[in-house]
Parts: sequence; structure tokens; C-alpha cells
Amino acid sequence: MININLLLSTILLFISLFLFSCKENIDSIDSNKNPNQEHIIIADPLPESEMIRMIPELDHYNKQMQVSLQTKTPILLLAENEIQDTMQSLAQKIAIRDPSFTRDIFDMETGAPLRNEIMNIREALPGDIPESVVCKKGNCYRVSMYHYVNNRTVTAIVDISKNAVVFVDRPLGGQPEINKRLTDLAIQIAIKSPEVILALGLNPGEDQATMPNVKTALNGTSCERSKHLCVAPTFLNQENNRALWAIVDLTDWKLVGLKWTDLGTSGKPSKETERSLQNDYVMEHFCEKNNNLSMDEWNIYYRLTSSDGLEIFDVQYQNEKIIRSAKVVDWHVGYSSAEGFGYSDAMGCPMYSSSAVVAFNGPYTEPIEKNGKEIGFALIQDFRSPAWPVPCNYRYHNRYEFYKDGRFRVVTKNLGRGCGIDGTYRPIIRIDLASPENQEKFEQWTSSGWRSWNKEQWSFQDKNTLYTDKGYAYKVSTKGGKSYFIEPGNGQFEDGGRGDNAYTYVSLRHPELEGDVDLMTIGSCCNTDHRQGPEAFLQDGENIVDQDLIIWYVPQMKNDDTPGKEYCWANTVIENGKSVVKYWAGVSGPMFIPIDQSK
Amino acid sequence: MNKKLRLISLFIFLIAGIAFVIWLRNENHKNKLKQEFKQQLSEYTGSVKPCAVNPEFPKDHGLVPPYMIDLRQKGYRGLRILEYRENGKILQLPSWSEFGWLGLHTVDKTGNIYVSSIPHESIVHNPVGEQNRILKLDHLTGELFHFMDLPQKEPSTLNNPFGAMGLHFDCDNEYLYVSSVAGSSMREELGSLFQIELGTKKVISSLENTDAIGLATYNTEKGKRVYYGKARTAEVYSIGLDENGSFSGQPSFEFSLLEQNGGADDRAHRIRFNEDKMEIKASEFNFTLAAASNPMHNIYLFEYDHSKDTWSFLSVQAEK
Repeated sequence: MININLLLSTILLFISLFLFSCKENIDSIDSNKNPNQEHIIIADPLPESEMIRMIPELDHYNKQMQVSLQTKTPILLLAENEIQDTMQSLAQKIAIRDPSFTRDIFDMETGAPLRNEIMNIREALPGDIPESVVCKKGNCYRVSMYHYVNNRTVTAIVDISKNAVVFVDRPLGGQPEINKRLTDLAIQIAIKSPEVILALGLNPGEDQATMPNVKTALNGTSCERSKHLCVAPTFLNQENNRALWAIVDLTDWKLVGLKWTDLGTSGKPSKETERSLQNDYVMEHFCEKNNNLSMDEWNIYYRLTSSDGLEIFDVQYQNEKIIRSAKVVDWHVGYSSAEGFGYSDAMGCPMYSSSAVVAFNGPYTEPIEKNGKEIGFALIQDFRSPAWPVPCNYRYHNRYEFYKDGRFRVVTKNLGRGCGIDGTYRPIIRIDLASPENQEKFEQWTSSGWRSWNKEQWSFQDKNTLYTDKGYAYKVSTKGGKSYFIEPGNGQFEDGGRGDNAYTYVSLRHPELEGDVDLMTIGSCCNTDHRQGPEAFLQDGENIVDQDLIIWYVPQMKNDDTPGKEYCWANTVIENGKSVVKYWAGVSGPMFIPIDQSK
Repeated sequence: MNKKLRLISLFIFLIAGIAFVIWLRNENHKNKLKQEFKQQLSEYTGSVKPCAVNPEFPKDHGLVPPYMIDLRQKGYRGLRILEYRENGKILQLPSWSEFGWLGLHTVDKTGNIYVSSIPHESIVHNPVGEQNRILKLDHLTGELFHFMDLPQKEPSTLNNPFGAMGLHFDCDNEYLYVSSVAGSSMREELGSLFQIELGTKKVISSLENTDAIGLATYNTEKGKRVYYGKARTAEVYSIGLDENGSFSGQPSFEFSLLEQNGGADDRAHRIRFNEDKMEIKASEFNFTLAAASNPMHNIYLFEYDHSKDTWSFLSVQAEK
């Protein structure tokens, strides 16, 4: 005899355990997390003007830099209170007169003044002086200057007795020992940052950013990705035997992020850098667990994959599940100048993945506005090659747009720069709509109205493609669920897109196969026809009427570097003495418009 | 009968005695060799004396030595051999691009080249699960072929498409040392260092649960050691080798590239010794294919201190 109560209790216990275990693995993008509980924090950078307003020392420094940029020799000299004697002062004067030392203080192409700063002046040590140079003790000084734009340091050995620079060295890489003015500035940026205040639970004083066992208040670090001058004021929490690393970018005057590290037995925290901090943050928050986002009437689950970019799944609108999964499985990049030359780029997690273009920070949302009114929101993930926008490095955005009226759009963005000016980008989008009975029907608009696709097939969007008066080319109907018109990009979305020129494929869904799980690179990088990968799933020509379907959509975007017409392109320009990346995104992707079935 | 038994016993005793004498002689010989090896090692410390020679086959294709092995793979895939002179000839035979993107290499004393295959910007040409292998380029025929697979604890996945990484042929003991990260994941370090006997393709010894990239041997004041760059951190470790060239003792932390003045969160990809200097070519590696598009490499230089048996940092420079 079975005890029904016991059985029910057991079932309830299992259900609650199951729900609890599912929930535990899900994080919410807009949960109001307390940063002092967080192991790693990526800072939300404040605008430069706001930083200048908030930090008087930065305001003063900025004014000095602006004055420097207006001079004939745009070099911010060492502050007077850092110059210990007249010899050091003289050494600085001699160094900045020397054309070899000042060779790189202007932009080579445009002649624009660049940001340069004297970091250190001291009597030269024997190790500083090359064998070929003879210097009497006390006569030679070492002057070091940092070039912000190319992230390089140049040092001069100045012989005071000869009133001349006797040696100039430009080592590749490496960062200078920074001057006191920048040390103070880094500490100010750190202690005034809301993230630091929240993490420490107090307003730290300047003296708290210190390391008792090192000479300086700052730890050395590097910003490998931005190639900026970075330092790390570090705050010790002796009680918990931990240290808070605050990585400060002295090129862009901002906090990069924070990380708590254990002091260990040596009492010295392990070193953190921009890249390790950003990667650890993304892995910890987005690659190891599913996340949830609820906005407007949308409820979305999302995760960063190993090689299929940011995947959204189990998406509900008004409590009805409408998307089982949507993702961008690859980017094919082909160059027309050389047949068969190109790349198949997978996007994914920044560590432990088979991706070449990796997640850069985590996903974020932004509102979508029209005529000043918020009409929806977008969930976005940035993926970059390590050295973008250096040639042969790439940057892509996965962007999912969700509108208050129930429309959604899967958008792919290319932000250059690639290996040449003859590139065509082809993202491979995979969309699996959800319906209660897994019965879907795909139709195409023709001269005689909607015509059903009966077997797996593909279609190309060209000048002969027919659209309804509203611009719809396809329709997908579901049994018992939501049905949608599909509107390919024709440059009508007011986002800079110039038309999708897309291949559309429909294949029968095979659970656990053909992209249900992370998909390895498909197709060739460089085919210029429909053979972009999804055609491999059409080969059986299976019946697709009232079946569970997968829609593949492969837009094509040609890059352009023509001034004024740039597309899928990026460039570095000099603005106000700093290098600034300019990009012109190529945008593509279909809009799904819900069909009002009451009409 | 008793006489027969006695004779048989005597015969067995005689055979056993002869076997014992042979064994003893062999042991003495082995010990002598060991002593000689130790003696040799004690006579010189520093980088292992190079023994690599040029392969024969490039001559058949009209190339004149000296040669350079070119694995830059910019605009082509696989290996090339270049004449080491201005406007020198370039050779790439068909099989040299059939194994996808190639990684690090080493050359033995007859000119055979051993190389690993490493996924580059995609896994199209380097499928997951087929990378934990050593390829050999025959010094006579010029054919590149699959030499051997390496053992791994767990299957490779999309989360770690890598396998064999660094290779080093030790000219003293003539073993090949290989690092592999196959089967490792974010949670588990399951890679290994292997000591391989080239003649039998046998793994003689291994250091398990160690993910490493570059590796090379060096004769320290305290004996021969393998130095290896960790794949998961910016650290360089070493482990001793016994007289048989097998891994011996516990791994020892040497230094962290990140902690050096001007250092970065790099991984030691290629380790080379020249006299008392250790040169490390290092760059980003996060078990993804992203580093392939990063042109930035740093060259670190360290110097061996014979009196302290330690390495001291000299400089770091971006690669020109």
C-alpha cells in the first residue's frame, strides 16, 4: 500500500529542489547587486567632463595638458615641485630641445600635437649609460618621457657639462615609472569612484591607497587591450586578508574595474591587469551560467557560448514562449582580391572557448527610441579581436531588439576593420521559433500572394525579391502560437544598414543536432554564393510543412573605406592629442512582426 | 639418478651464475654510463649544446643551406623552409599544409623536424580532438606525417580545442619533451609534460596535471631541468630530470612574467637558452583562438646566476 501523502510530499520536494537548482544557476542583468559583495567589478565609466568636474586635480591637470598642446613643443613638463635641483631642471630643458628626443611628439601624418609628458628626471646610473657614451659622474641625467598615443617611453641621457643629449633610447613596450602628479591623480580617480566607495563601504582617504611593502602607493599593472597607461591603487583589508585592486586608466582618466584578491601568506596580492580583470568578470558572470532579463513584457534567458556568440533562449512575450533559441553561429569574412582568402570567425567566451573574436565585457541593454519615445530595448554583446582596430582584427556586436508591440529583431553588426578594403562579411544567424505543438509553416511572398515552402530550401534576397506593401518577404505561422511576418533589411531600419542582400534557408529541426548545441564553424569563409554552411542541413530535402523549423539567415555586407561612405570600417584618428577610434558599423538582420490573428 | 640430479642442479646453478654475472656487468655498465653522464653534466652547466643539423631534402629542391624554418603562417598555412639569405628560395611541399595551422617545432640531431598542430583563427583546418599529436617532417624525404598521438585524460571539447603545444629535443639525452593541454577545462588542469623516446614512440615519463606551452631543457648547477611556461598563468616553472631523462622531484616555481618590471599577463610560448641567458617569447593565451589575431609578443630576457642557482630578470621588449 502506497502512502499517497508521502508520495506527494516526495514529488513536491523533488519539484522544489529542481526549481531551486535551476534558479541558483541563473543571474539577472538588472538585479541590484551590492558591489562590495562582488569579487570583480567592471566600472561604469563616467563621461570625461563629469570626471573633471568631480576631481579638481584632474581639472587642473587637464588645463595644463591643454596649454601644453598649444605650445610649439607639446610636452607636459615635470611639475616644479618634483624637480629637486637646478641640474634636473637644466636636464629637462636640454632634453626637450633635442630633435631626437622629441621626434614623436607630433602625429606623423597630420602634424597634430600629441599628448606627451615628462615622467622622471634623475641622475643617470651606470646601468643607464651605454658603453659607447662617456659620462663623468654627476654630469649625466636620465630624462624619461611618455607618449600617450603610441604607449611608448623615450629616455634621454643628458650630459649637463656638454649641454647636450648624448643618448636616446626608445625601447618597445614597457611603461614608465609615473611622476607624482599622475600618482596623485590615479589615487584621486580611485577614491572618488562610486565603485571603490561601495566596494570598501566607506569614503577612502588618499593614504589608504597604499601598499606597506612596496615603495609606491601604486601597483604596476598593464592595460593590454586599450594600450593605455594604467596603474593600480590598492586598498588593503587586513581583517579579511584581502586587497582591492582598482585599475585606473591614466590615458582616458577613468576607473577600469576592481578586483578583490587574497593576500596569501606573503601578504602581497597577485597582480591584476585590465585583460585578466575583464576576462574573469565575463567568465564568472556570463559563461558559467544562464542569465535572465525581464523588461517591458519580455522575459529573456541568455548565455555566452563557446563559439556561437550570445544566445537568447526560452524568450517569452506576454508570458507566451516565442523563441526557443536565436544566435549567430559564425561570421564569414571573404576578400575578393584573393580567391579563397578570408576567415571564419567564431564569437564566444573570452577564455576556454573555440572563438577567435571574444566577448569584451558582459552583455548590456540600451533603450530603443523613436521620435523621443521609448519603444523597446536591445540586449547587446560586444565581441573583439585583441588588437582591434589594428588591421586583421575584428569587432562584432550581437544585438537582439525587443519592442513593446511584440516585434523583435536579430541584428548583427560589424565594426571593421578586417584585413582589406575588399571584404564581404556574412554572419550566419540561426533562429528557432517556439510554438506549443512544434508545428510551423514557412511562406514566401510571391506575385500570387503567400506561397508555402513544402521542402527544405533556400532563397536569395536580390532585386527580384518581392515584398508586401509593408516590406515583408516571408511569413512563419505556428499552430497554437504566435505567427510572424519577416521583414529583411533594405536600409529601412534607420540604423545605418544598407540592406541585407541575404540568403534565407529553412531546415527541419533535429533535436541536439544541427546547431541545437554549440555549433562548430560551418561552411567556407569565402564562398560567394548560397554555400555559407546552412545548405548542408537542407540536403535531404525533408518536408517542412507543419514541422519544427529552423530559420537560417545570412546577410552580406561589403566594407568600404571611402571617406564619407565608410561601412564595416574602423580607423584611429587624433583628437585633442589622443588617439580615438572611429568606426562605421555595418548593420543587418531581419525584423519579426507579430501577425494579428484576430484580423 | 642422484648423479643426474646433481648434474642438472649444477647446470642450473651454472646458468644462473652466468646470468648473474651478465646482469652484474650490465648494471656496472649502466652505473658507469650514469656516472659518466653525471660527470659530463658536472663538467658543464648552461644551455644544452645544440645538435640540430640541416635536413637533407631541401638540397633536392635546389635550396642551399643554411635554412630557416618558417612557421609565421601569414598568408599561407603550415610550414615553409627558407634559404637564410636575402631573396632566398622558399620551399613548401604539399603535405606541409595538410595538417592545418602548425605550432611550435624542434629539430633532432639528424635534421628531422617535429612540430605540433595548433588551431589558429578557426578550427576548420584543426578539428577538435585531432590536435593532441606530434607531426614529423622526415629529413630525407621531406614528407610531413602524423608521428604519434599523445595520451589525454579527458576528451577535447569546443571549450579547449588545443592539444600538443611545445616541443623540445634534448641533445644530451636525445629524448623529445612535449607539453600538452588536451582535455583541460576551466575547472580542471589535466594537461601533461611528456618524455618521449623517439625510436619507439613510447612515453617514458610524464608530469601530469600540468598545462604548459613552451618548454626547454637547461643544465643547472644542480642538474638538468625542464623549464616550462604555464598555460593558465604568467608563471614559469621547472622540474628536474634524472639520469634517464625522466621527470624527477617536484616542480619548482621560477618566476612570473607578470611580476617583472614592465611585464604583462603573458604566457611563455617559446623558451630558448643561449649560454646563461633564457629568452622567452610570450603573448596572450586564454585557451581561445583570439591570440592568433594579436600581433603583440613580448620578449623577456633572464640570466642564470650560477652561485645562487636562480634566474634574474634582465629586460622585456615588445617583439620587433
